[in-house]
Amino acid sequence: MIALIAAAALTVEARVSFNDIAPIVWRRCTTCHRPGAIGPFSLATYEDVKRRATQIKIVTARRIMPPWKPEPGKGDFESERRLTDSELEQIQRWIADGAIEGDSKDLPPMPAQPAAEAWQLGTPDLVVRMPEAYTVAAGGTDVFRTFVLPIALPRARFVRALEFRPGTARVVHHANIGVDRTRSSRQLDLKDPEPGYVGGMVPDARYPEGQLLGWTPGQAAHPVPPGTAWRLEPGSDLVVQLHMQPTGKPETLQVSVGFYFTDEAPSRTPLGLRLGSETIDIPPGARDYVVADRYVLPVDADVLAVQPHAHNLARRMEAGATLPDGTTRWLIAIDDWDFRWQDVYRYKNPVALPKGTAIAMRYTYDNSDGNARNPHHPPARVVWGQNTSDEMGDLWIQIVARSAGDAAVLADDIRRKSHAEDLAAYVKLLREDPGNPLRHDAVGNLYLEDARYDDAIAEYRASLSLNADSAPTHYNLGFALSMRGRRDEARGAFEQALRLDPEYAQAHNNLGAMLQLAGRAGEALDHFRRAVALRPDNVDAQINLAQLLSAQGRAREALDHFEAALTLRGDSAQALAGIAWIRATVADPSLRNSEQAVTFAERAAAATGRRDLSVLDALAAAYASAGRFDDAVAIVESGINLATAGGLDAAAAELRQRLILYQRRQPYRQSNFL
Amino acid sequence: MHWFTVLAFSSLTVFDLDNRAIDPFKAAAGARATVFLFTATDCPISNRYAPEVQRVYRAFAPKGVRFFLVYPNPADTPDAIRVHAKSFGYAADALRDPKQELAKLASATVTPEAAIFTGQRLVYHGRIDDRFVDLGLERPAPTVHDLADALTAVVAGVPIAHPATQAVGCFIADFAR
Repeated sequence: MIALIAAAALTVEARVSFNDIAPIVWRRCTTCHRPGAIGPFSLATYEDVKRRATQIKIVTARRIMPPWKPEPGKGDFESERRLTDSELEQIQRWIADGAIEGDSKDLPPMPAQPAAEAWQLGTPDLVVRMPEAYTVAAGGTDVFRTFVLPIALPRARFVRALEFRPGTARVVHHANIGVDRTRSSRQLDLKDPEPGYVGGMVPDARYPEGQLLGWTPGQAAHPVPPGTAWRLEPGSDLVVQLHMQPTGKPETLQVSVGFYFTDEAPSRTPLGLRLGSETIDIPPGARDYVVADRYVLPVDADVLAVQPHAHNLARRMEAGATLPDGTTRWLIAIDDWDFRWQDVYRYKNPVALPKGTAIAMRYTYDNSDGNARNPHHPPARVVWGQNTSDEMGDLWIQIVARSAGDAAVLADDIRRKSHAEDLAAYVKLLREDPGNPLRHDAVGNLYLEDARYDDAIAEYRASLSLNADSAPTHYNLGFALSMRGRRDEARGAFEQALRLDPEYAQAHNNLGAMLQLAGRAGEALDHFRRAVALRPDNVDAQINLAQLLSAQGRAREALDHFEAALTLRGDSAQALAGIAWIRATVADPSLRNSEQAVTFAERAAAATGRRDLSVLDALAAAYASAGRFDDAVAIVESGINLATAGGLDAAAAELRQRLILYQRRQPYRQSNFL
Repeated sequence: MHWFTVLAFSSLTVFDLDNRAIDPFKAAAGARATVFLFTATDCPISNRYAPEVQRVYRAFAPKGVRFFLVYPNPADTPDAIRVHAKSFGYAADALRDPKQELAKLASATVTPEAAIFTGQRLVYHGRIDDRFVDLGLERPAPTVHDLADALTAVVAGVPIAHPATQAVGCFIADFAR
């Protein structure tokens, strides 16, 4: 017996000291918990850590810290912050052993941390910040506010990374980030006397195509996967919805966002696939309400990242894929959803899923009083909505078609899916709130996207009968009417929009288009000019103005506006063809440039698949101007066939006149071009 | 039961911000009740309670309740406490309890935690309200205001419904390590 005890005693290991666990703390905690960084206190020295030992014991054992929600083995993610089992065991043993310091001489050197105020990705190419600081009150409930950050960008750029900096780090609990190419967000900001506005993002503020942008404390900044940079248009606003948590004293913050650009155009465009429900309706007291959705891939695709999103009633989240051969793969599982720690999870390696794979998600919700996070006490009915007292259930999946040729098929399929869900959701909202003109507008806009113009017209008219003072509603009504060919009524609607908002650039543009079709070119020109003056970044207005100027023979002015359009949208076929037409046919030799005309017209023809008559006309004129009459003849002949097949007799007749000219080996010259 | 705890004042070594040892119970003589609010300069949970503490203070100080902020962390120096109390807008007098003796007498285990004494009796100790359910789990808003309810009972001279509750926050025991 004595020998046994002695042997057992020999196996007792030395007590774990801070020297043993310091590297774990520095790697896992100190990145956020250090002076000036996001963590609310420092965890760098022995004194710091010892003073929180009991708290650390509890929050690490329960996996509250470091904050990492996905369950292990169900998705292999980048920048995983979860403690390994052996790291956790070491920390627990250190505390159980008395949280001793050990011999400080043996403490390994602390690795240098980048300065808390340094950009993780290096100096950004462009920094945008909130125009004014915002002060969060000392107490009260969490604050949800959206801020509009204008982006000073002279030309479109490709973005390879964004880095979010919260300013006063400890107030911001998370951020959703979108880009608004309209002025919708700014208008809401203007109406709210304080910086930003109360509430969430408007539909016009959206993720750039296929990007999942967000920020959570501790999140590492990530460049996009190679070849997937996204295009940022000039005139866009960055829109940042902040979830701010009062700290006990007033806090002033001024968020900034760093942009990192690349000249490399994307070789593939990821898409945002949304699974979930927008018709959530949870009875009070329900403990196991389920949202489930699935989507079958129409093509081979790679999943790059996922972002689960719900509010405070969601408890468990699961998502996975069932491949056509029956094998299954986890995409993500979160057992104890916490709205405050929502994040974008990027896979270390893209998850390759073949055509026919079913992607499925299932979230469960607890709307009982047993859920401490329930926003209603006592529990109340909770429906879908953007406010945190409402509920959501989305799984955003960043996905890209394996083959470039399949990209359009996947994009169309995904758009159809989310559009159908949006329509169902907004029709439901309208049914419950039929006296709200905004609900009619929302449904009308969705009908518009579906080309259901008569249904859209009915909704806009219903909206206007409830509130006749909405300029955007008059504008949208005008647009829907114009698509149905009801031009006089459309013109009236655009005029009404402009009476309510004389600086409504898009309404000037569309009214101009209606006037031009009515043969009132002079008035049309005035409205196009006004549209361009108000919004020089409006590509459509630039092109409309340029085309009208071109038709009136004002070549030099027309070129200026086509070129402005091309700066805004480098692949605009209309701008390319417009420039080509002038450069090929202008009488003034100092403006003529046959070589550029050919290059531009060929690009325009390629972009339109040689199915656009004006582009073909420009291409033929360019060839003729360059002396390539055989090519010109071939193109005009294909144009004549196209026009004849489409029953466009007038266009066919005009092209036949060009054909005669080119067969005589003469270029076409616009004598009236100035 | 807690509210029959009888205190041995003479052994207490708590200090004001000028490092003078004081007996807070003597200082509070004549008050209808004395409230000790245990806090720390760098505990995010107790800091978040500053506006609520101020609200309770404003509601009950005029009713004869004496409030003290108590800093049980020996690392919280008088200067650090002055800065802290100013930036969080605390109006109550601050005490240092570097050996956690007052915390022990008040059965306080975390910051923030409140203790109410009437004379020599500990009549309430625990949370300020139920906003924090646990570390990492909080309600959007409190549903029970335990400290204010207890003080309302004390002022009305009726028994306190829940004389001991579980507070959530930063552990005082770790300050003593």
